Amino acid sequence: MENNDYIDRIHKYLSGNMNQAETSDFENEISANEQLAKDVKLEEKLLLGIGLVGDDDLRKSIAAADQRKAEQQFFTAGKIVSLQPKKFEMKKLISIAAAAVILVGLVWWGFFRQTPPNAEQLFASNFKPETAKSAAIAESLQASSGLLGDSTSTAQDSLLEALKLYNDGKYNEAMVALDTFLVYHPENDTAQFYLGMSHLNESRYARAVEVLQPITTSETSSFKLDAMWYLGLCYFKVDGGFAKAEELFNQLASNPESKDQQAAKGILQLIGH
Amino acid sequence: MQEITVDNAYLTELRKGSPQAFEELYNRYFRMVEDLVFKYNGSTEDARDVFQEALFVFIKKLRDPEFVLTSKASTFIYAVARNIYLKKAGKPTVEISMDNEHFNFLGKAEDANAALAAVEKDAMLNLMNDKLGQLEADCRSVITYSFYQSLSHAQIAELTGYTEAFVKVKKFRCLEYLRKLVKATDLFKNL
Repeated sequence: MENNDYIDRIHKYLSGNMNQAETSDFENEISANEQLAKDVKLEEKLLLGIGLVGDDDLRKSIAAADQRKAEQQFFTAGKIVSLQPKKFEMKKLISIAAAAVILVGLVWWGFFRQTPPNAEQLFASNFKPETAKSAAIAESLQASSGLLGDSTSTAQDSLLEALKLYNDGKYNEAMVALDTFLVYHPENDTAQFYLGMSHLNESRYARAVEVLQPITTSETSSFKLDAMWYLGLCYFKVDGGFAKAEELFNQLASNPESKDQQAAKGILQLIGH
Repeated sequence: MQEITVDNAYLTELRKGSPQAFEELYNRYFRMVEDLVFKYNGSTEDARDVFQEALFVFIKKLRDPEFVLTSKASTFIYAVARNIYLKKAGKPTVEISMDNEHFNFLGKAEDANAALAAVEKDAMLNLMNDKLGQLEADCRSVITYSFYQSLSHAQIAELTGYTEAFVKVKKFRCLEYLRKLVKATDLFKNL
């Protein structure tokens, strides 16, 4: 098979790029010409084989990229830092923890009668889903809905829907809606903030850190101080995050613009700062 | 998340299989897919599997010269990943009705894999890898660009630095050489 036009014609047929009449003519030729029929089969198999290798190469390239990202700790960086022990270890850990709590409790009760809170307690007693603010934003979006141009209205409606899900406590659904919204509006700090809060509500602390942290360094975001507060709380739940939490609460405690200034001072006092 | 503009320069890098271009896709879009998988109680490992599959579809599609990306890259990847994950997880899927073409393609990709029985597929893959490996690197590239990525002679010329006329000659010469190599094997002998 040396004739390039002959090969081209076979490939055109195999790739479905012939029109109906050409296909019909070509199939008649195949029926009448044994050599052509053989050549078509050969080319079909050859192209299939090339396709398999191409697919295989592509999968390998993607898998190699995945592996390199794994080596860069890309996947663990966004991973949940779970404070929940695995189920099968739960009983054992509960008994150990219970014994430890009783022992520590007795010692402290005997000597001090007052227990300083741990990171878990600090988080639990200070974390709130911040729905008052999201409800107010949703209300103002609702009020202005329809007053704006089509594309702005559509964007607002998407954000409004996402915030409604958040306010209803449907954090996973809110998270997906906010992710989708952020695809089109990556700079929107309202969406960024509530995406971080959705992760926080779902105990995905490391992911929440990843989303909230950039807001805390923003010079313009109206969510900066709130993000610092929640990022600080979040750090209590992340391995090795205590010092970072302390640093954030220090900044908030010395910032009169923060609504959480007093609460931050209280936390610092409780952790013995 | 910043969008990747699927411009010529980026496409060129993806077509060439540039490691940086692949990693950039992870930087931009993996978290979005991970959040999607979390929503359905999946894990990061599940997300990695789904993302790899979605990228496979996305890149194959991008490389198709007849394909025009009408949505944003993120929208495409999200829709494909969602359908792959829900299908794998055995959950009822309500496909995102943004562009049926995306999902037709999913079907085609599966059909291509199903075209050969698993055993024959492995044998064919090994054979073709072996025989393509015997070709010079530029020959293999021209064959891949031409018959796998279906690029035009002009596009291949841009990627390889050859002239269009030379690409055309080289394409058939390389294919002919490959044909001779495979024809002598059991898998092709009985045709």
